[in-house]
Amino acid sequence: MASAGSGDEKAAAAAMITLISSDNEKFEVTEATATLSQTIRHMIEDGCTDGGVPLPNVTSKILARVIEYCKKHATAAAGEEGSSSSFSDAAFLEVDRAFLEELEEFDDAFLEVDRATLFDLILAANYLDIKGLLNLTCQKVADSVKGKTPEQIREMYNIVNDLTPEEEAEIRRETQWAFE
Amino acid sequence: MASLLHSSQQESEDRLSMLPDDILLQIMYHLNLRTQILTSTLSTRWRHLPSMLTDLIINVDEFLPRTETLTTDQLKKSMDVYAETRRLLASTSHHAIKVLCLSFYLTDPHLQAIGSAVSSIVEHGDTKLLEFNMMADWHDLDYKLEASVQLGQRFMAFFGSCPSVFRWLTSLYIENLRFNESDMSSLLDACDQLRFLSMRSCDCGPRSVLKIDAPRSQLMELVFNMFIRVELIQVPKLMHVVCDILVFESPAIVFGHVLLLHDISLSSMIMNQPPLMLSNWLSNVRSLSTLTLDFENWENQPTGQLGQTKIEREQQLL
Repeated sequence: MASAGSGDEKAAAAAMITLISSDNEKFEVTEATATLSQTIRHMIEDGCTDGGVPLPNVTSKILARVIEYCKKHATAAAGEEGSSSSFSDAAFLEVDRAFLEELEEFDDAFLEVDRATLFDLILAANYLDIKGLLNLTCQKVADSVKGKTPEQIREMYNIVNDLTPEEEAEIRRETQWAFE
Repeated sequence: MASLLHSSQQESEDRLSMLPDDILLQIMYHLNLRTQILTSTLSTRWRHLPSMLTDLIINVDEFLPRTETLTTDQLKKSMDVYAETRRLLASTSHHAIKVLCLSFYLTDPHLQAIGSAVSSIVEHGDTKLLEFNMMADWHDLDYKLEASVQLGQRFMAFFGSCPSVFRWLTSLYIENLRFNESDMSSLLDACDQLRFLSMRSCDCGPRSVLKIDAPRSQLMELVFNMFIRVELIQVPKLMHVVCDILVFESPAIVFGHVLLLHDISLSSMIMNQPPLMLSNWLSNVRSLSTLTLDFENWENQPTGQLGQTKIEREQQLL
């Protein structure tokens, strides 16, 4: 390419970050994608990302999913910024809505994972401090217990009830209305 | 999902309970109070989680029986139980409650219990958002006008009984209350943190005028539909006014010192008055960016021009 050495491309190249999963797989991502994680954002600000960012708590399988989420959401954020100046208000709202719908569809599809992966994603989102992803995955768990009895919830998540009958009765007595 | 059935090798592990407290709390914030309490009986791990929540939303709707019509008895019983949530509030009082949103009926004798429970929480000084949504209880009161007088008195008695609570109040939704002339100013003076105030079907008598002269007020948003006129003499932080009034008499709002006001929404079913001259009417509103007008009887529409834009129905300017 003729423009290979242009300043823009150098800046873009400089803004790539390498993330290293617990099983030593390397992922190259743009800074915009990586900084959806507050944890990584702080590392970049402190200048300690040279040679890659080791993430000993995140496997390559989960990191790949997390990056997929961040890429999509970083693009959407950039798209919103870019469009605000170049469209009239009405067109902007239209584009905005389309973005949000697309993002929602992406999120729904993204959450179609087995339960073990969902928990891994929650832990990764928490560790990497990615608010949107943590919120999304916690919402998914919350939705799964809505309208269920405690017994159904225990069964669903293999929770062993270690409360004595007396303790359970005490909780019920204090908040009887919730069990009616 | 089929994948759930044969996914992980540790199928019998309780990974949910293994999550740290703050993540479990994050999950609980997506649940209503009833489900939050149900989860406290799952196991020892879950027992004390509800009392660690820093944001609490306690809505009387959750306590009402799921029937189409509500009897006085049912409502009273629901409020009895609602007031019992003070125990839940008491159990949280060893840590900071940052957000507390309560929605309940204005019924006696429950208000006192609610007031004292809330004051024991706000005394810690950590509450950033305190919201009351107080609904009118029509069930034991037949005649509407009498009822709204009675409810107004009940509200003011509640207000008088727990001044510290109202000092922390940031949002207040009230409805169907008739106040005394001096009530509104005492209320606005006392609620010095109040940012949002919605007063649907509230007034101080037939064809009453509300004057707000509150230079230290934090009020940012005001909703009303019953006062024949609201005079915003000094409301320096006010940004948004919504007025959806039955019979419009010009001017329904008088603008004084409202430097930050930028969003006005005005709608009415009946407009008997001569048309508004918008440019005169709004001359004090220097920061206006959005004006929404919706009049049912559009023959007598407001006239005039504002900037370059003619006023049209349901129109936004700028």
